[in-house]
Amino acid sequence: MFTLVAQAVISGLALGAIYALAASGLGIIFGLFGVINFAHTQNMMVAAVTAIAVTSLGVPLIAAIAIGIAVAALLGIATERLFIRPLLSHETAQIDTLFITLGLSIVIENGTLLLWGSEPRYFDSPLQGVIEIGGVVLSIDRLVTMVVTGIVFLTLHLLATRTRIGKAVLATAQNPDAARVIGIPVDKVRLLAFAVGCGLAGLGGILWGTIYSVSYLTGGTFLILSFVLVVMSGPGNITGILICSLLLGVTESVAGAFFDAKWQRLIVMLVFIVIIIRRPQGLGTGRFARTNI
Amino acid sequence: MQSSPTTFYIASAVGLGVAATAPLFISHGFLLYMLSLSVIGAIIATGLNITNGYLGILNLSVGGQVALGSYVCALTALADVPVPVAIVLAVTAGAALAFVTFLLFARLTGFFFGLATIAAAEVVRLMIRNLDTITHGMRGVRGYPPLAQSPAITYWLLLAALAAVLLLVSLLVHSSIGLRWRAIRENANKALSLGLPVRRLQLAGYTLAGAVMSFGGALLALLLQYIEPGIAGLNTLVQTVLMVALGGGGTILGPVIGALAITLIPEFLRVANELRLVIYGMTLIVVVLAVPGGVVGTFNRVMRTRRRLAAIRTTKGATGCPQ
Repeated sequence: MFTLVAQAVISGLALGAIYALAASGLGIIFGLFGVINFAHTQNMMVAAVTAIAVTSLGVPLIAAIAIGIAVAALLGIATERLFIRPLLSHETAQIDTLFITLGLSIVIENGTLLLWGSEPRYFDSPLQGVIEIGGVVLSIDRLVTMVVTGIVFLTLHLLATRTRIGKAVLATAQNPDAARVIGIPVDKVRLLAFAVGCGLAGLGGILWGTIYSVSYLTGGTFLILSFVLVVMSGPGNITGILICSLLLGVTESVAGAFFDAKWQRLIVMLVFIVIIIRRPQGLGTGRFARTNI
Repeated sequence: MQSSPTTFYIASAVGLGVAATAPLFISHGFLLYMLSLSVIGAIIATGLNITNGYLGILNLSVGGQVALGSYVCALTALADVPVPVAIVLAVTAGAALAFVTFLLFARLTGFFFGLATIAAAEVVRLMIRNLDTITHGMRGVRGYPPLAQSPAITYWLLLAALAAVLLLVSLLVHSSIGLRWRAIRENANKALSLGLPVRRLQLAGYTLAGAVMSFGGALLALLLQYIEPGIAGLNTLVQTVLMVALGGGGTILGPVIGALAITLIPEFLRVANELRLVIYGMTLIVVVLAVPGGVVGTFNRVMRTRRRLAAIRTTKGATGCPQ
């Protein structure tokens, strides 16, 4: 019994870690731009697909992962430059970006279907296998996911608070106009944050791929959840997103172990609706919150 | 809005008459099927046009409304309820869902309202998927009676349905209600300060739109003879939005033209199914980028241009300046 719960919790933490990677990317973007990127979770799928495709060409795993994340970041840069930037000056910017990224999401998803086929693919991951801790058998890939995500978030936090670039990002988020006045290149900073957000999602997708499998549909399955997490925690509240993601992951995993998991998504949607009705601005006000809207 | 409603009605009647002769020329069953499909698309798009085109509300609940209509119709017909009654039930269910949804989200504005309607559609999809003892879940529903035995009669019935919907929308739009709807679209706050019951008018429009979309969903179920929860997904939403945006929101015929274009052109180009979706996505991107004001702006721009044309037409003098 304890074994079952422990395994479910570890699985849940790994799941939550991946949710956190996906959602914080979206949260950073929403916090800095004030717009929603509907195609955000496609970055996850693209990174994983690229990494898998590259490994099958014989490239070593670490390099493949780096390439996958880089491709996701590049996709992010292209998205920002081509599809989001031109729309930011519209008065219906939020709605326009919703539609355009919706279209982009459909193109990426079905384009991948066309190019890659519909079967799920797997990583030939060296992370297979289990280890035993205190008599409980835990899978290595989930532990690695947790550890990697933890390191990534810690690094992000340190970068954001201790480096000049990090502080520039925070400043831009708090007040873009003031940031411009003191000489911060707001456009470049935003672009960097966008790319980082997409790279994070890419990492999440790859980690997902090492535990489970990836197909053209993978992006879509994370999309609504990422939205929910961002709205629940508030646009730029990265810590909040991390906590909510982990909670959500563990709840889903434990509930799935004991009950029928198919209601979990529905409950999440209903929670989302309740929250968005009562507090459209989210549950928390984070460091990244836009203060001039 | 039209400078000459009578001409419009006559022209539409002629158009419908021409369309009705299609089965006489087309023996190829598949083409008739595609035409029937586009007629249904036109109905759904007309429903969406009520909120997104005339009222200026960002209604993205298309998937949910259509799926609800489809499932209520199919499941009741499967339970030996006569098809017309099944359709009425579907429309009622759709209206009820839309009514409740709008009341729930009434305080949200623009973007957040749209996001909430997407969430609502997703709830519908998940409910359909999960309640599989009633809905057959992912297996889908089949084996219920069709609209009619012959494809030609099916087509004519669908055409009649479209005509009825268009007539209803047209009458509403040209009435004082339509005038108030457009006033709200231009500037909801101003409309409110003028004493218009904005919320009530929006509620009425949203409910009607939902009912029409569910009507389309019911007809869709009857035509396709197989439905599954994916109907409530984003693909339905994107296709319908494109139909309205490309054909011209805020006009009566716009959604019809859009539906014809979106449904038929890929067929003529012999485009494979997946590629079709890629093209829809790209079209959506292009529309948003190329049209100033994007998808929402198209609606307003069309209206402004027509208004300008109508103003020029009604003044005497070649210069177009009022005298």
